[in-house]
Amino acid sequence: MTSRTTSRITGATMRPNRAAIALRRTASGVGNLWLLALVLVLWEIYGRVSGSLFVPPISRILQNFGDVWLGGPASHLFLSDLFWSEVTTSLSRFARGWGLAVVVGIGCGVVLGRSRVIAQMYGPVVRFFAAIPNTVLLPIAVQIFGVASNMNVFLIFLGSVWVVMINTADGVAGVDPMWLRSARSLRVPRWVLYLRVIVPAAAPQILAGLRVSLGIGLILMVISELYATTEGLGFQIVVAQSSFRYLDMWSAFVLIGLIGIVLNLAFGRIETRLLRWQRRSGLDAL
Amino acid sequence: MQTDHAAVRGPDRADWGGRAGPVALGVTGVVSLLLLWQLLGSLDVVPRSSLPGPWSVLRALPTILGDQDFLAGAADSAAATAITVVVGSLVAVAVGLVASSFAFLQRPTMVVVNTFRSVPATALIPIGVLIFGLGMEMKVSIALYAVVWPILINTIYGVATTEPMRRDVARSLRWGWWRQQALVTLPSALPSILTGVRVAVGIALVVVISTELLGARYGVGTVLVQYTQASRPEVVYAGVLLLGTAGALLFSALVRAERRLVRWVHHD
Repeated sequence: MTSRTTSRITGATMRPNRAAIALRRTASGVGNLWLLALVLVLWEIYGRVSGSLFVPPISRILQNFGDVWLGGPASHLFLSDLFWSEVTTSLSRFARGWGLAVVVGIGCGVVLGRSRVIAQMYGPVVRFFAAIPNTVLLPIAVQIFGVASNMNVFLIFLGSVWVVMINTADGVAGVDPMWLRSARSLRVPRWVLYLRVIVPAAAPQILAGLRVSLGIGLILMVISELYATTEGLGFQIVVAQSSFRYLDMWSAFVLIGLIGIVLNLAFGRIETRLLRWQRRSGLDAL
Repeated sequence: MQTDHAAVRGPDRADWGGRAGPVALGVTGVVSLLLLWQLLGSLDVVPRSSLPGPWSVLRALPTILGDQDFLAGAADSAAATAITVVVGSLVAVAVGLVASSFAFLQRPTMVVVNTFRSVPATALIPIGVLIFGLGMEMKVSIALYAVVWPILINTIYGVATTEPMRRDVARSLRWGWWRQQALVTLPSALPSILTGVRVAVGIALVVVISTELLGARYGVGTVLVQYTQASRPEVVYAGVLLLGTAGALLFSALVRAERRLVRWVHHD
């Protein structure tokens, strides 16, 4: 009886509290936007006062953004046809290149992290490839594939695979030996050892590598489309530049930025979900 | 029992590829990859025109090293990278210190940083060309845009990890803002800032070379594009190999310098 009343009481007192916390959180979230708003207002003023063709005021960019990329029918989620054709082209290249990099990177990284001999044979080579400035590979990618979608996919793959591989190897090599010994003494089969012990234990570091590679992949997606292609977001920028449609260029930048933000947010969600077991340090509060 | 442990342990974290293991193993690794490269060409898996064999690439090394344009371009790219990193670090560290000194600025600054950071600098190259032309100015300004964010973030993170005790001591000694920044905050944040600068060097190099591939008048990227158009793939590969080596050397030198500079920090 008593327990029931207390639970009812706490339940009653909890509810407004939770709402208040949520409210406060949104308020502080909005409150944190003031500096961004200030920067955008300054941009607007600069654009209007200078009257520069190349740096239009932000309001006109956003208006143009609405005209070019939005404004489709409801069945297309209010996104324009151009959005669907260009963004899906670019993102499918990104998904293929990055997906391949994730699979190959984690696979090779686990091998490198587990075998001392293989690490000593190929570790220096992997670090060498990781140190090559990615975009230098553009001419080579064009050389091998010509101006085709595979060129973009190949470049995205080659640019992002090394970070994943190095982080995975670091994480796998750093797995607490005690866990491995416990698993061994439980006589778990080899594949269970890898799937249930080693990879999850290395997950924080693997995910950190994936996050970095996500950014690299996006950069390479855009740059490879600027360099040589016939469709995609980067190509739209090139076309806008050569036909002096500067507003279109800027709204393409906005779109690329939004795609980056959405992908990063989605990745952050997945990351916190996968790493729920990990105790977070104070820095993540920032 | 002993052997069992060894089998389970795997290499130490610091060991894998970081420190030079037995040189013989490293050489075996490189040689096996070179053989694979040779085989890919010999068996016609990849046509010669797109992947020249290791020999012809090696023979093209003198060509590219003797090319005056390439050397001048390399100097130009290096200068652009250096200017970017120095200016970017100064600006970003200053902004970072100011932003972290005032509680009401911290989170709003991160919002601004994360918003602008999500537009990759390389996408801005076309607009940079329109505003600044095809010279050094364009390269540096685009690279600056790319470099400022990681250093700024690392500065803010570094300042956030300052031990509160030290800050309290500074405050109880009634130190002014400048003195507190110079003697307490900056030394505490230095390891994190240096990591940011190291990342920034890599990013600056990538962005500078991108601007060159996309039209800057001088630079290594420009020369490589010329060789691509002249269909001399072996020279392009030799150039990429050289740049990769230079990048790897630079990177390891930076790591070493960083360790030396912040020797007083406990590595856990």
